[in-house]
Amino acid sequence: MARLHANLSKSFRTLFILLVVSLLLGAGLFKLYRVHAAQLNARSVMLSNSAVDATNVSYEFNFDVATAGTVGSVKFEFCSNSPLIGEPCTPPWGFDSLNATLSSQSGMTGFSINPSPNVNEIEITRVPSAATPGAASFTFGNIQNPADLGSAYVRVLTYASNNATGPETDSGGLAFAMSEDVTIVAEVPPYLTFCSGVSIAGFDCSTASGDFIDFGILSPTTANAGQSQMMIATNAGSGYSVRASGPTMTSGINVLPTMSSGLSQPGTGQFGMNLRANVLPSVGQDTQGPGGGQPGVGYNVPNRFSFNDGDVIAGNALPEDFRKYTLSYIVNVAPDQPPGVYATTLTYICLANF
Amino acid sequence: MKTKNRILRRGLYAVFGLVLTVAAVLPGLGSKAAAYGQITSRSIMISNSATSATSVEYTIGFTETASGIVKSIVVDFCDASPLYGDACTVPGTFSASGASLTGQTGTSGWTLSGATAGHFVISGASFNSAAAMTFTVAGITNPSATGSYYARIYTYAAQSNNYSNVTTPGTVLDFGGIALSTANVISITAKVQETLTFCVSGAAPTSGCGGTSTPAVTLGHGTPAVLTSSQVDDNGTTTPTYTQLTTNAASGAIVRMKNSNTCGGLSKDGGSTCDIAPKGSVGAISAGTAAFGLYVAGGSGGTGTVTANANYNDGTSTHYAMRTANVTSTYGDPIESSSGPVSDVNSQLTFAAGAASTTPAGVYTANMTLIATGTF
Repeated sequence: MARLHANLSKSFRTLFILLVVSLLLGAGLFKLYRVHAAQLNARSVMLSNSAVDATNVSYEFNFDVATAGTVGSVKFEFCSNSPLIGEPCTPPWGFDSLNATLSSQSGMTGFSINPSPNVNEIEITRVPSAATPGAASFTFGNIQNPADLGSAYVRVLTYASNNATGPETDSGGLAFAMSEDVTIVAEVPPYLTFCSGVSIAGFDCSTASGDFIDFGILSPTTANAGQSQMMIATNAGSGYSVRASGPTMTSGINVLPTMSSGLSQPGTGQFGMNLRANVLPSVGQDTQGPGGGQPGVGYNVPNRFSFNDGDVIAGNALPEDFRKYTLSYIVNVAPDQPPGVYATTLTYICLANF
Repeated sequence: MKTKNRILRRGLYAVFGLVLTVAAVLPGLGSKAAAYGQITSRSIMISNSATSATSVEYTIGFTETASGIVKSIVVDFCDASPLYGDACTVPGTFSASGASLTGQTGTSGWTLSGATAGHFVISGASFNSAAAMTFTVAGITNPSATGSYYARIYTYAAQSNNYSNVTTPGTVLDFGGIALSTANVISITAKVQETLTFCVSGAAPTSGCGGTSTPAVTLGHGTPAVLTSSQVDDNGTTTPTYTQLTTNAASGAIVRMKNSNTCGGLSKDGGSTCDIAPKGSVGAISAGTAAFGLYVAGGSGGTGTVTANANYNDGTSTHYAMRTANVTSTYGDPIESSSGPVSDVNSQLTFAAGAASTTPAGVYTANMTLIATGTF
């Protein structure tokens, strides 16, 4: 009986103790509270690229150190679910900071990367030393962005230890976002503006008029001259060339000889042209317009005339911004030139090289 | 049988006697001589019920019912009993030793003295009976234990009363006991996480970046759309582009823009050269000029303000900009920003381009990256 009494007392004692402890826990006397670190203020993370899956991205962190004291390490933990310190962290899908480099640091310096086995963690370390409250900045390069559009988070924690263990000194969360790029497309079509006429007003092809030049009665004592114009504009990347196609002036079997960079010689049978302002005889104009095209070889010297079927008479190796050429024609005849109506039809062909 | 009844009767008499004796004695056993009246409408309001709180204010209020003139008041604090004359232990770490009288209503000119750990005296000019008054005493430290504790208030006709100790309070006019209690402080924690939601869309986003589409801008006119030297084309109505920003960043957010072409404009060779050059500083693009630029409208809708950067909005919606060095820098060129938290604020981006007569034929492209940075 006595032993039974003793056992019961012991049991009651145990129960009593348990009851007291329960009551004390209920009263909150043994409640454990998470000690919250001071917050890192004015904190931000700036990315060099917000495209999903982008590689070699730089992340620049800026924040104000809140607590004066020893700092030996800083941890940057990237999460897809929450920036809250202490909450479970899910690494952002596709994110990779394993090969991150510390490309710059300021305010709190002397850190180097402490290799982390986690793709979503960057840890920097130094010999623990005093940190002065104030602005700090760290830039990491060679990071791969998350693979999902939308928000992601970073938790920044400073530690007195040099290996990010123990209680954090200061901490703060950040949010950033992956977004779509804007793709801009614009097409510039190839174009060529080319016109010819006896005259063209300004640089407006709609004003081109006349397709017949009458030299009148040919004389062995005086050079006969005439002119026409052509205008060109093109965005051909490799420019253009203009060829003159057609025979010299003929009347039946009677032919006026062509010229080859020769001077006008009245009394000598000649047919030639150039694209310059001439004095002997007085005919033609130099090339006009903002473009850069030039008369071709043999057609670019004042008072010297040439003609050869198929010759390139003008051109530019670059795109042309409105260029107007004036073609000067001369006809000379010998005293014994057989009579007749001498004529020719010239065709100008502009070839743009895109 | 008779003996049994006698015994029974005696027992009953004994019981009745005992009952009567107890009934007669009990009132005497349980009470002391009631030579004082009761203080009515009494209370002590404390400014902080947290255990061990310091600099707590105790406002003692009551209505004096004594017919005599009260000239002093004594207050004792006890851990176990409010009853007159009962033993009294100062509750835990309770202390009134630093008490001071900081206010009084219904009377005036009273002072506090004799403050000890569990006791103080307030005395001074008399006041009329049946008056409601309060005395605010500051500088008190609460008990360290959670739970009830008590105060005993005694009034005296003498300014220098004959209070001796808590069990011998002297010649009391009126008395009143009060129960007080400390309580656990309720800690409330609520976490608001940092948020930043940012999207770029070909359609105006609805709340929370809903209803978005992949932004794809085509600049040109006609069918198919082409750029010529005859006019400047933009995407304002054809293929619009929007951003939406939501953030609780205390210092707001900045949206920056980068051009994938290192030359800053539109390129047909992957960005090495830009035959359609970046516009540069904000201004008009003339027809026949090969240039590419952006106009930012600034925020609309939602809550909060997103302001277009002046470099991309000079007040004229047909003025555009594309700052070469900035849009090709590491983090891009700021195009809009907020100075505080914003929610669901949309902003339209209008890109424009023109071609010169010498702009080489080809398909020109650029990838514009938009990056939002919040400062929390």
